[in-house]
Amino acid sequence: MDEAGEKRVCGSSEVDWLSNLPESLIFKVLLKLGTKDVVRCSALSSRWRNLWKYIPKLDLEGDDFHVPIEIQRLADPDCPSKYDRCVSFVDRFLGFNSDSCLESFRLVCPGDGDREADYALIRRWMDIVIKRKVKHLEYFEDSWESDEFQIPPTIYTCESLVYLKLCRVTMSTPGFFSLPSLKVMYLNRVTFPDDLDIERLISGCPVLENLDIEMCFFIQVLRVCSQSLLTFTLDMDNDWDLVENLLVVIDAPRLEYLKLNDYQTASFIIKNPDSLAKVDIDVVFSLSDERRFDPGDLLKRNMICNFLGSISCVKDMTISSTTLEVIYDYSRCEPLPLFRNLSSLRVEFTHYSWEMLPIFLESCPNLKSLVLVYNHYLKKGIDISPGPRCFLASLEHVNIERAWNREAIEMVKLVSYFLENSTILKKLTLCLAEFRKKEEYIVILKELLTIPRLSTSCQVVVL
Amino acid sequence: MSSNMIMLKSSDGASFEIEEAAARKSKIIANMIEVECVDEDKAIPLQNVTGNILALVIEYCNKHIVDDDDDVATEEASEEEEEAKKKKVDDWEAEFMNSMSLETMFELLLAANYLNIKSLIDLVCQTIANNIKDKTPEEVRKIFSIENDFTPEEEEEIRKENAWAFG
Repeated sequence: MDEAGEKRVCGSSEVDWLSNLPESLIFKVLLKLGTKDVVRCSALSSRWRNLWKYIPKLDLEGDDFHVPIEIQRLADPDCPSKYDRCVSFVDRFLGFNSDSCLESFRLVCPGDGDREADYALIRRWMDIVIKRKVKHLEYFEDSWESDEFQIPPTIYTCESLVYLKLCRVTMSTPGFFSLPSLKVMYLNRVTFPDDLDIERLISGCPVLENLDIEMCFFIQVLRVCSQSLLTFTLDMDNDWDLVENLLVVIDAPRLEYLKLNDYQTASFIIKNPDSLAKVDIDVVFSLSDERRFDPGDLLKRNMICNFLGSISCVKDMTISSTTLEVIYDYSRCEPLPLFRNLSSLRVEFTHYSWEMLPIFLESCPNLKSLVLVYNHYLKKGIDISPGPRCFLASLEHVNIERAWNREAIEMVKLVSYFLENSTILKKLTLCLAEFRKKEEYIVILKELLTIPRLSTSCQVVVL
Repeated sequence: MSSNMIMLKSSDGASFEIEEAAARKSKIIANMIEVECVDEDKAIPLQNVTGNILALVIEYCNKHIVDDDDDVATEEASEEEEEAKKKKVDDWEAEFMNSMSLETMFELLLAANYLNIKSLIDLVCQTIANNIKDKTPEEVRKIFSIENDFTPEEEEEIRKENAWAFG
């Protein structure tokens, strides 16, 4: 609520409506707050004295236990560090109402300087919350150093779990996976003893809908097979050393949204892509500037062919200029599939050059809206000699956002390309904030006026 | 009266006409419709809700019936359009909650609870929670007129028990 709202609420009533609410509604209010706010309510009045102990939710991070140094000794002489205070509180909290169910447990475990956290204790907590039928479980290891915390195997058969988010932990090797209620799983920097473990984990979640894997390490293959999955994001740190020949296989017939941001993986195989409607692609199939696409590598050619075929039905696509360069190289020896349903395309540029774009646009016969976004730092990109240009018969809207491209001439060429070739273009928007104070700004504006427009109803807007 | 309109009657005798789809936001009314307890000519009497509060409940339901219908039809909508739509609803809800007094807000919560309208219960509880978040007990007491019935010693004791939360 904004400030005005708060002022209005202040002192506008003499009746204590809040304390007089039925307990079930007070609980609903408190469930919307973090544990620190809930605990602070204990000091409101005797009605609130013990309510916090009955709220079936724990939501804490290390900084919650930060206490100003001057009151530290006074406050809690037995618990000198954030970590000590956190452990002491969580241990106590889990002791209350130990037979009742727990809705939610979210803990960002505070690091403790030199001393290693008591992982045996944290594992015991996790066993307790799983036993108490937790639905929403989030655990983050705060210290950058350690990924030693092993999640207890009881988690793999937790029937109540609906939402699971883990960060910087190691999964223990389980015997059996069954998470019958799990719908959302988010794994960040999670280590699996074996590639097979994550495959079996995913397959053990019969109602999983959203899966997000970030910066996890796999040795050879990541296999995502799910009959229920609707969205899947694979986000790898692209600065890592390449793992040669990493393979990602996705077999999810209900998958609607796929995001791949991964420069390591050499091969992507997508089976049953019939439901796929939206993709966000930034991949290079482990190719690089030093190791460009080789037309003689038939295996790779075939894999890229199948990959493009499997995403060719989508309506909405975001793609990086790096991926477009790979596709350009590939298109010189194989025709691209037609992206018949694609109506909305967003291209994220990390390069100055845009010459690889036209060949891709020619494969999108029904594209209506195109957005080009420029990254802050732009590389040179590969050399491409412009070929003959086809008409862009369906394009209605082009939006060039954040035109960081400092090459004014390239910018004018790009705009000319759209204006001269788009038959029914309604509007082209160009954001030139980056050029505003330079002479180039005037030059671009003057040039823009001289470009002939194929579409008579086309409007050019400069922001 | 068209077949998909329903009459509701408040505790102080005011009658309101509402679309069935909007009325179904209330689980209680939806159940009554399911088991055909609703006589087309008669208004459903709601003993625990006054007319001015019922008017707010109906305003909320009417606003949200459209949004639910959209869920089916939005396949073509782009992400930006959906975001814009969500922002519009959020803005409306913020303005809706801002426009009422504290007393009305609590009466609305009790009505939503009685009629079992989950999203409205959530909205009001969130608004109340926002007025507690990051505030000292003194500030919360002032906002909600909560009387401090502790002795200074008792309060000191409570604060000591979880001193970190009051730092």
